[in-house]
Amino acid sequence: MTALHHFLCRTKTAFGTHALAHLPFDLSGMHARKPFVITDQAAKDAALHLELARACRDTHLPLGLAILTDAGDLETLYHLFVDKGYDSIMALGTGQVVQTAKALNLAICHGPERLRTPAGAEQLNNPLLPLVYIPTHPETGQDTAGETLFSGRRFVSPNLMPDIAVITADTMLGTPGAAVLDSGLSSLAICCEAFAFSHSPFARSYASAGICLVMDTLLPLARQPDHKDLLCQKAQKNRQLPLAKLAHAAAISGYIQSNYPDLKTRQAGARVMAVRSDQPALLSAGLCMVLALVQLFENSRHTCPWLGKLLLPLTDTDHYTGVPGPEQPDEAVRIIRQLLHVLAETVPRGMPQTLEEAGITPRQISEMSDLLTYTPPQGAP
Amino acid sequence: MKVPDYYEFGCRTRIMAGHDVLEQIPGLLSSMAARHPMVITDQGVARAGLVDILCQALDSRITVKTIQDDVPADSDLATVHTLAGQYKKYDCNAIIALGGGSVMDTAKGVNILVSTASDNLLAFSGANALPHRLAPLVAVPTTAGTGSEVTQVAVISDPDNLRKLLFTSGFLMPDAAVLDPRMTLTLPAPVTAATAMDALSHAVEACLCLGRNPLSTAHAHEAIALISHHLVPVIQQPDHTPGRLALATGAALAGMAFSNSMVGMVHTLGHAVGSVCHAPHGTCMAVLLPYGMAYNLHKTQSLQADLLLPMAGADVYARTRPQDRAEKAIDWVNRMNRRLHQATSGAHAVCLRDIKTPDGKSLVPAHLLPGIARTALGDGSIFYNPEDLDHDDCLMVLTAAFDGTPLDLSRVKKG
Repeated sequence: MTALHHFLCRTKTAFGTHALAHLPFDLSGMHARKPFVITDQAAKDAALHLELARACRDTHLPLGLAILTDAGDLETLYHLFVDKGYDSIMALGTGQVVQTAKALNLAICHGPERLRTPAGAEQLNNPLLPLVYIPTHPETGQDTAGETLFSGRRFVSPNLMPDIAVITADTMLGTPGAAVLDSGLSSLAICCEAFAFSHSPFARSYASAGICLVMDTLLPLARQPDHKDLLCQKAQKNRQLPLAKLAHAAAISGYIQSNYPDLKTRQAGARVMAVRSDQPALLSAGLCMVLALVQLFENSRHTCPWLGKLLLPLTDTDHYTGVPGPEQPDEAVRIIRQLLHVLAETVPRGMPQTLEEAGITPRQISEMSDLLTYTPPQGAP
Repeated sequence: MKVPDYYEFGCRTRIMAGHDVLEQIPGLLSSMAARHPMVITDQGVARAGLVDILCQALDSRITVKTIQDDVPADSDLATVHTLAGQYKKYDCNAIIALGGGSVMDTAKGVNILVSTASDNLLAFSGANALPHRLAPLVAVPTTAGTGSEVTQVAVISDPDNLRKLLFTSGFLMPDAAVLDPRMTLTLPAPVTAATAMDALSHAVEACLCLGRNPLSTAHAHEAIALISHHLVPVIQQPDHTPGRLALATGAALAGMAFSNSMVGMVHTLGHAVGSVCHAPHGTCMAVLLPYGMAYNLHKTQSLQADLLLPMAGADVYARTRPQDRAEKAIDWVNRMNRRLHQATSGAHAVCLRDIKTPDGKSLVPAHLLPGIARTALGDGSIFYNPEDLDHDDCLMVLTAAFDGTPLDLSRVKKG
């Protein structure tokens, strides 16, 4: 509790059944009177835009709607937005939908020229228009993070975080098992690293909730057949709530990424992926991050301030208090390894459980040792 | 992990916490192009020298246009209007609120008037009535209790009409909460104790009340652990800055938790005692907290059992039989009150009867208890309490809290 710490989460999370019904009230709170909805073909095919329209019907909010087909649409979207006098943006969808929504927001508020040069928070100080994000899949956190990639250029600012993330089973679309695994492992890695190394109790609070959500849902989801095989409508419905919880965890991981842009697992995961770019089907970003996380914890168990306490959100109160304090760091790492082991047995093609099994040589591991070792800041207790 | 059918969680205030973090305010204000702030505070804070510390921390990038230190203990409409006039007169473009709950509420009210160019605050009362973002507002709390540095609510008195006006909007949230332990170093021990117990009651009720959710509970548990671990050591060693910072952080975490989950009967009754008897809010919370937990025990047994871990630590939790953990948590709060009573040489009250003015006059006379119970029924927090409460229930709890005797659990309705 001595280190200086900052934390900012601009996004309000609205989670649960019928969450869309609360949206008009939130929009009115932001004085958003003419929202512009950006979505994709999959969401439209599932008639999710009609769900949104139904939720806003009683308030007579005029909704504009654009179906995104490719990134080149931005110019069209920009002119449409300006010409029709919209005052806020709703991104109904994940990935490209939300990244385009953020880029559009930048273009509207800072001028289209702004998108020609990458920019950071100091250049993007001004507030943006209200942005509502409604995911249709669990993502990897970049959707709620204060950043966007547009045409290969990166823009970073807390103002790019959505104002509201509406996460509900009602808008979850079928998600392939590989994407579920990627999202869950990515969220787990980010939340665990933030929990174990951050000096901010605010970050730990968010991270703790994110870890609990992943531990609750990832394995049951991984054990279910892939969405294509879920022919029964009831089985698909049953999958939607855990998917929403996983999307919630992903949103939390985005909030954390906004505050800790230099997370080691993220960087190390990217490095591992680059090394094994010949195995894209075997190694997802999320898996690479968790493999790096385990190595990071192994290398830093004596310097990591909160590794033992990590056992609490990874398991439960009884498990945590049943393990003697000095053994808790090892037990936390064992629980993560065990999760990887069970997942490897569950997913159809198996998966590596260590960096070595992923084909990373000891020399390559040594070359990224700075990313796999925690060094406490000077003056830290 | 139980997840409610629907919940919301949000706090868009930037938290800046740490030793000497006041020195980061110039950079923060500059980034918002707000270099001409007005400082709003009260005379107690000014007398304690905290305005001087703040001003010394501001560098040449910032010109404080005016320092207004006349905020009363209970923020009112007239003060808000006067200060809004001063803001315009001195051509300010930001507000630094330096103080406790009343200063924060006043600053939020002033911000409404100056940002909307209106002279009618009433037009913005209620929920979501603000049309746009307000001027930059930096909150520097000088007590570790209310959590209002991270909430979207302001309460302003309208004494002419004998009412309190409530303002709620996401735009009311301060842009930043600056938690610097220097700001609470001079707090007297009884005030430190009462305000920290106020924060503890926010956190505990956030875990138990009907609006609880995974994020509010996570924040509340962190808050409980920080307050539990640091409160008594800070009372014993008031200049222990890491402990002061931990309490300030705990109060902000608790503020985030309860403002996203709401509070219950501890606040229902505490507001009523404060309103009828003008007893200090934090002290009322401290006394009533174990009674609220006991009253709701049958509905929240497992949630209260979970509280024992952040309160008492892993060893005590593991040593206590699962079926005893909830009651042990209540015992722990009672014991904390007694320890604070001892550590403050009796100034921290452990029952309503013992809440007194500095000259020893009792603030909560027994004959007012029925009136307090009636007043409590009009408090909005009653709807979020796990168990129902009627007048007789309120009176039963107040009577036990008055004498400091255990609540007769056989008389608690099991709805």
